[in-house]
Amino acid sequence: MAQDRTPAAMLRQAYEQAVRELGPRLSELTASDGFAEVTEMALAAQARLQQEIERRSRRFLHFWNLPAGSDVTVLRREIGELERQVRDLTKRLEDAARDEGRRP
Amino acid sequence: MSERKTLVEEVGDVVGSTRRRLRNGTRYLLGLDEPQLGQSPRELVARRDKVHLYRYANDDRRLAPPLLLVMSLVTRPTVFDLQPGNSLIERFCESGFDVFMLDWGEPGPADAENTLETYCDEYLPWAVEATTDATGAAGVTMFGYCFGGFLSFLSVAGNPDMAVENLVVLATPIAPERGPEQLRPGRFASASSFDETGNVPAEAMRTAFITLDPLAEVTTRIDFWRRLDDDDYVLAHKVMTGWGNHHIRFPGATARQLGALFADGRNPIVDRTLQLGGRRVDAANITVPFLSVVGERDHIAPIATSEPLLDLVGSDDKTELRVPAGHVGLFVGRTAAKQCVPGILDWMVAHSREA
Repeated sequence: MAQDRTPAAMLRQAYEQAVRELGPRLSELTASDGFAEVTEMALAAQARLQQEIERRSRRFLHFWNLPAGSDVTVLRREIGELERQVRDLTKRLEDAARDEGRRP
Repeated sequence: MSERKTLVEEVGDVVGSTRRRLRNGTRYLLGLDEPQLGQSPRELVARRDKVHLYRYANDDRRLAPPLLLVMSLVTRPTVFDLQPGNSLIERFCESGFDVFMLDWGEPGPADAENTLETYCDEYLPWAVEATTDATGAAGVTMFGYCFGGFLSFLSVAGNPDMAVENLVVLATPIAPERGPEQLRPGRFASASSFDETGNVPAEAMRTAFITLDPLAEVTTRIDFWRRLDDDDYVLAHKVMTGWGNHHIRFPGATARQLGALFADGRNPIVDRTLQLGGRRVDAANITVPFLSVVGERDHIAPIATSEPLLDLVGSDDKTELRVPAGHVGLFVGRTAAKQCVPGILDWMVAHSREA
């Protein structure tokens, strides 16, 4: 069978060859503990930077009596906590009702 | 004469191809014609917190017990019902099953403290009860995919009285310590892994999957641009990326719990020392007919991660079905429709009865 010698096909073959050689090495790299540590450090640095930006923008917004993103986050967490308590109470009520139904 | 005709045809082909490339490329860049996923008609049967239980419309429900599909916590359950003609739910309905599906919803701050116990001892038993209540059946066939299989497995092991008649798990990594490093539970358990809602962000989950094979993402994009004139390919690409790129947050407490359970390469499920909700959960308690489906090319949950399943369960009737497919290819696509799904259906039909 004649080999396709068009530039597009040759480019494709070169890419496939590169994938065959590089792919496993890259996967090995991303699987390493070192990669996990670097990723964690990068995430931590990103979080610190974000906290710093939030702190500064919060100061500015609070100065003008405006809510900041961190206020919304606090509110979301508090609503989440309330929702959890409602779920817990609902479950207790259901359990109590089930126990009541089982009594002779 | 024929040479001239070929030339005309060739020019016509190039013009047609270029026109399709322009049309598909423009639509893709503008985000037009996004395919609708999960179109099979269904009704909401029950709801608890963020969890929804759906029942699929089917005029030909002739098999019992009803089927309860349990999705992973990592992605949306639309993978069970991608498109008409490429839908596992459609196949199940056509085969006569009464199909229910559990949608976990997107975890928010209220779900950040959900643990394995929340899913295995509360939501899943609730879903089984809601399914049997809706159908009047004595039990269900529980069908879990990926981490949904993991949850189903632990739920049935920890609640042997639950009304489950058959248990089917697909690509279920019960031994994650034997799987890819990038998806080991410990990788998502550190403090920096959580977002402002207290959960592992969807982007972190997506990145972990991409790092399994970083060049696959590039190859997919190259293939897409190369085959931009192929309408069927473009649609299939949009369908798969529409599902595959939409990961959801993973509950924070579950991530921490998994990190602790599987720390230092330990596996309390395989060691039969797992404690959930203050009691020992032993897979030997699973005595119902059991099917594990594994993909020979699965790089997310490789065969080694599912291998212990059969030895762990106490069922006399247990089967492992190995199919030549990857993680999603177990039930999505043409090859799955011809090679994988029929094997799963045969087992399920053999373990069902007339409704």
